[in-house]
Amino acid sequence: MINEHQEELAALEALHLLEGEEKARFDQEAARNPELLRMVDELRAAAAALAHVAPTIEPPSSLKERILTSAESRRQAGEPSNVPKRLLSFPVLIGWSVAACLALTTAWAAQLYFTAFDRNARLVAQQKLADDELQAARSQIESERQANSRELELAKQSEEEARREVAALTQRMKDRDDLAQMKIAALVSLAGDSAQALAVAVWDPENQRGVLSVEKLPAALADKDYQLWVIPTGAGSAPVSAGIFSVDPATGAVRTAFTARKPIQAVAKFAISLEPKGGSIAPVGKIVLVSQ
Amino acid sequence: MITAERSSPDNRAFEDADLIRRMASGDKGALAQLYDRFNRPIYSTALLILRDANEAQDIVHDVFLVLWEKADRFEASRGTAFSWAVTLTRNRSIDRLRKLRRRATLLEQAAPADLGYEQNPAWAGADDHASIGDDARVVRTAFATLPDDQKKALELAFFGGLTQQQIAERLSEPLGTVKARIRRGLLKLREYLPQRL
Repeated sequence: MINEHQEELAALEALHLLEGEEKARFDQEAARNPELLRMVDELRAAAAALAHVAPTIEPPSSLKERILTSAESRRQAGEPSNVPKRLLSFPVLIGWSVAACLALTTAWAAQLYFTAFDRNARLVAQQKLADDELQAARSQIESERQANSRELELAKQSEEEARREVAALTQRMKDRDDLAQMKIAALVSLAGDSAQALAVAVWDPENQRGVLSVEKLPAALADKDYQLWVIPTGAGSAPVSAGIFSVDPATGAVRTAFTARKPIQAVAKFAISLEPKGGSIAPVGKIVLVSQ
Repeated sequence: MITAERSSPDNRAFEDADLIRRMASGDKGALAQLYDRFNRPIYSTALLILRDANEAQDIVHDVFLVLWEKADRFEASRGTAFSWAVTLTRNRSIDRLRKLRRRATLLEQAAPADLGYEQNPAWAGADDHASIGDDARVVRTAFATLPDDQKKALELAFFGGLTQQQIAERLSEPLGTVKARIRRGLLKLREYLPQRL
């Protein structure tokens, strides 16, 4: 019989929403309760059906070919070789024969030993004494185990806390690694007419996305647009457009997400130019801000 | 050759399991057929979770390769092939989404304000009537019978990539209420749906 609380945990497990201690407790319970495990499977199937609730979108036709090509190459790479099994060499066979003889001899000796043991009353008495001592030792261990149960519980709690701390630390390290990969650059004015203007561009190379934040940039004239350019590393790399933008006429500020028109391996500089309305394919207008 | 576009859910599950069995023995044609049967719900799920067509395609690619490479481990007694594929898709999409969110948060912190990542244009023209399969119709009919609060909780739980606590915060409801809605919604969905969908 499954109670309401177990049903709730089963539903959360089916949606992979159980975590940490709650999940560990549930897994233990499910391992002992086949009915509960069956319910999780059924609810998981019901949850999977939710995939049909998503608005139906057709993937591009090229995806199927890409998958089949990858599958073919993986299968070829993973195929077992047809190398025949290695036969045992003569020295190895000798070794195994010696080992087998030794085992038989040992068994025979053991048989003699136990026969003699059964006939020797003194040894039986010693055996009884040893059994008594063993029983006493077991009792002592059991009493110590009971006495230490509280300490064990505390140790488990400490372990759980330590695990949480490790998880938090790991997360912070990942964040630091990710942040280290990002390109952050301040853009400053080249010409005197925008001396107060300042911009910061942040670029995430893994996701090929960035954020631009601008302040105190004079609004462009009606027939002009500001355009952001990403200049890749490498001698002679052409600037890649990251789109046009306009600033708030009152404050000269704007904040916008951007993507580059082409994939960027590594960013050398960012630049902002004043281009004809609608932007340009390559910079033709005046560069107003550029990163160092 | 499987041509059961209009077969019953039980038959479809059986046919899917047969394709997986053939994939386990290296039948690439079976993989192609399974792709034809699963690609739309799988891709749509990944896209709804990730809101990025390229990311969703990468997930679908990886999921079908996992199905291909681990086909010999499929246990029909533990669930359907479709359920396996969706679970793989959802878990991988959510892992990717959480990584993207973490990076987006870092990006946000590095240059303060809203990132404004735009909605995916691929949503336009979604749900063309002809493209929706029988299973999708059955599930959507069943889902429509749920109370709105249960629907919302299940949608956030399945597609949102959120923790229980985050769902509760998003809905401005106590955690216990959210858990109860998820439980009731999923149990009802299980009742309404054919057993082997």
